[in-house]
Amino acid sequence: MAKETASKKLKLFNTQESPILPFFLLLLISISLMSYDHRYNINYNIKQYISALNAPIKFIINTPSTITENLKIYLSNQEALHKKIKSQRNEINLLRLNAQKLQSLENENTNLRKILQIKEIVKKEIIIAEIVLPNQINGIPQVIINKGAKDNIKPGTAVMNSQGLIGQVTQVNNNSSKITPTTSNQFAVSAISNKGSINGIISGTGGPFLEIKQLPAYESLAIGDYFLTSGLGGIYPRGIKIGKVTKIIPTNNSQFNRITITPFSSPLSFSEVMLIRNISDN
Amino acid sequence: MITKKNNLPQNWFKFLVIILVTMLLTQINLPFLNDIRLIPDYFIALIISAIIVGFKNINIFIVFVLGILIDMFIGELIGQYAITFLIIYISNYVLHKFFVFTSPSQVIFLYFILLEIGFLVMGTTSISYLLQNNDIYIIFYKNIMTIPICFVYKFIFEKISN
Repeated sequence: MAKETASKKLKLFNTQESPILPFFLLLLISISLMSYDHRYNINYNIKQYISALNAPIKFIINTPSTITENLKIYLSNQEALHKKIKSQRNEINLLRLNAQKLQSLENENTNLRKILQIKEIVKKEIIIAEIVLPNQINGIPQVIINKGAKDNIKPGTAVMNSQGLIGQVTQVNNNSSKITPTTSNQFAVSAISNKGSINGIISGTGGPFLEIKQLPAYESLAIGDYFLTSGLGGIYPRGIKIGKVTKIIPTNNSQFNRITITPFSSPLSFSEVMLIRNISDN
Repeated sequence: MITKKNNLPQNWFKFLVIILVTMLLTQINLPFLNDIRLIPDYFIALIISAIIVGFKNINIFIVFVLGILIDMFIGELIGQYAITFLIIYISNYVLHKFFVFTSPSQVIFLYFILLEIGFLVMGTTSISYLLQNNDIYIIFYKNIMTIPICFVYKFIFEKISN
């Protein structure tokens, strides 16, 4: 038995070509490719070119949710729809009233800025987009919307929903765009506390929370306070809600605390988002 | 031998179908899994099973090209899957030089070693190049989730190869 196994399976004396040399060659190519991609981001350009090849897979993934949505509309009864329309009309009226107030405040603000000779605020345009699946690729969370270069979307555009900031557009294809959510470890935004006294950079952690890595311990921040975008940098308009302080953790350096923030909005719990674009970008 | 050679194109077609289905699986959420970051790494499971089962004597160049293609479609960094697959392939080659894996328990052990090597390379490259999902705990849990998938692919490849 021992002899049979050895002659069958032992590969020490086989005549196959050794893959060691090609291995080192291909290893070098792989490392060079990784370094080149890390530096020049070629993956982004390649993904744009081959996005059409990936379209059938996206279609298959989105089909069940599209069918469910259509079925919901088809099966909903008339009375429920009437009720919904009525409540939405009331909501629209209230929002119109608020919009009128805001308009008068905006005019007043513009006049005051002129008097005080302060630079005018850049006007923003809001575009509504729908979130499409997949919401992850190989375990990496991602948000894809159904608006792209055809709709004049550009990388860097801020994205929010009715609850707060969602992230930023980082990759634009013809008919879709990829958003880097606030929770990504590649995201950071300048923020200001709701009391207006604390400024800081909020960054994603890769997990479900956001954080301010080092905030001076003397700052009077309490659990339950929340942060808004500060408007510095010009990408995000001032005043979009980001998240609520849930933990204040002392660091090794007694002069600083680490702040954990729970974001107000999760892109996965909404089907629609708003893109905020500077009108001067057109 | 002759009959096997005649089946070759058909088997490669089946292999292509498996890759396409795997690509679909990587973009589908698993039920009852709250954290989408814990989705198993289907492609590592696929390549380990293909190498161990010896699917059509899959060689190092095919492994490399497959890795590059996966990087282009679903990867974060061009070359990450390629390097992972290469190291898995060469580890399998070196292990077979020194050890004989005959009984099922030995083969399971080989699966486990190659899986750990694969995730070690993925984790190291993710941390080095500051990619997303570079959390060591996530990589560990992903690793556990991938183990059963390996055996599903093993079963599929054995069925195709016979």
